[in-house]
Order: sequence, then C-alpha cells, then structure tokens
Amino acid sequence: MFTEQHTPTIDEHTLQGIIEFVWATLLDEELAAGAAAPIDDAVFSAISIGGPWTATLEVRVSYALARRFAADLLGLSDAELAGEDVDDALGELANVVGGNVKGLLDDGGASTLSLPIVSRTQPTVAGGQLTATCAFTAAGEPMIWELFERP
Amino acid sequence: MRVLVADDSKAMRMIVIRTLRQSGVPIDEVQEAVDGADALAQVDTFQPTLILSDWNMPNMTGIEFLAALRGRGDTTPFGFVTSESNPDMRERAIAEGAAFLLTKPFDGSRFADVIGSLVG
Repeated sequence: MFTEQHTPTIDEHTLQGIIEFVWATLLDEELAAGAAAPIDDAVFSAISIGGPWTATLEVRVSYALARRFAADLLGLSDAELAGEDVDDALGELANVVGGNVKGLLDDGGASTLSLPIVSRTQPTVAGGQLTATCAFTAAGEPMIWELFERP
Repeated sequence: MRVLVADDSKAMRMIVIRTLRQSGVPIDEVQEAVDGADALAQVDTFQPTLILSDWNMPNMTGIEFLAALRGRGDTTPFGFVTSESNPDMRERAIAEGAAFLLTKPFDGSRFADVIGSLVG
C-alpha cells in the first residue's frame, strides 16, 4: 500500500477535466458536478493502465443512464438499442477517458492500456488504493468515476 | 473515396463514420472492420482509398495491421484514430507508414483537417 504521503499521479482536478472534455466532445453537452451518491441498478466500466504506473479507472452509472448515453452516442432510440450497444458505448467511454489519462503520463511510451471491461458488479482492484473520485450528474442521474492506483 | 474503418467498438466506428461524413470529405463507400485481422482480410476485396484504424484492438492491433499491410507492399493511406497517444506511439505509427494519429475524442473540424490534408 502507499504511505500517507503518497501524491496521486493523476489528481481529481485533472481527471475531472478529462472526463468533462471527453463527455462534451462525444455528446456535445456539459456535465454538471454531482455527489458520490449510491446508484441502484448500477453498471460498471473499467480500464487499466499498466507499466511504470499501474492504475484502474472505473465509472459507474445506473443502467438507465448507460442506455441513455449509448443511445445518444450511437444516434439511436432506446427501442433500437441492443444490450451489447450499451456495453460497447460504456466501455468506449472508459477507454477514451483512460487513453487520455495515459496520454498525460511521462513514461516514454512504456505504459499499456487494457481493453475495457463492462460488468454489473463492481470490479475488484487487488491492492488498489482509491486516489481520485469525480462525481457528476448527467440527465439527472449520478455518474461516479474512481481511480485506483497500485504501488 | 472508399474508407475502411477498423475499431472493435461499434460505437466508435459509428462516430468515426458520422464525423467523416460531416467533415465534407467526399465519401463514396464506407466499410467496417471489428479488429485488425478483420480489416486486413477486407482490404483486398474492398480496395479502400483510405484506412482509419483504432490502435488497441483484440486479435490484431492497429499497428500490427499496418505493419502487415505495408509488409505486403500495400501503400493505402492509413490513419490512426485512437484513445491514446504519446510521442513513442506517433513515432512507431509514422515509422510503419501511417499518415497521422488522431486522438479520441475528436471533433469534426479536426477530422476534416487531417483527412483534408491527406486527400489534398
């Protein structure tokens, strides 16, 4: 585990800026700040960065918000959405944010980005320490991002 | 212009194609591939005039796809559209013969700039 003096490699302000930029570019709408409230019927999307700095980035939203995001991203109605479209869209959201986080690392290109994993249960990040939490509200629903660093 | 779009995300393929059509670049036909191996298999039959590819894909990554393509003498203009980039990736992409590396998310004007400069 990290010592108490550990300074996050990616702080909350930086992560927040990346998420807001990605959301605004993908959906052409602004994200509002929110609270890290419990989410019923949640769906999770996680992506990991490996190399000199190892971390896992997770986003969780309600399944309803995930469907709304996927529909907006794909330009489809809710009725036209397949379950795999929701997983695909939420996975790509984590992928794009994770890629932009990775792009900030001064690692000489040594880091790698995993493929995203979408699940209905919260992924376990073995040995990970929560170093950043960013909470937003989208379409009236919470969206929580968490960054776990591993020593 | 015949464009082959390779990305394991259907959502991102749709965004790339939508943005491509909005960019004002004349598009005759677009074909989609779900990874590098699928894209490589489609090149001979589709004969694209531009290839846009993700980097990080299962089965065959974008850079492996590009290397295989150039390895068999195919010089089709090739650009990466990827969620991650760093100087090392850009160097590798250019060394393998890519024309550009565009980082997601991108907007229409950025897309039009890089494609427009490529097709003149």
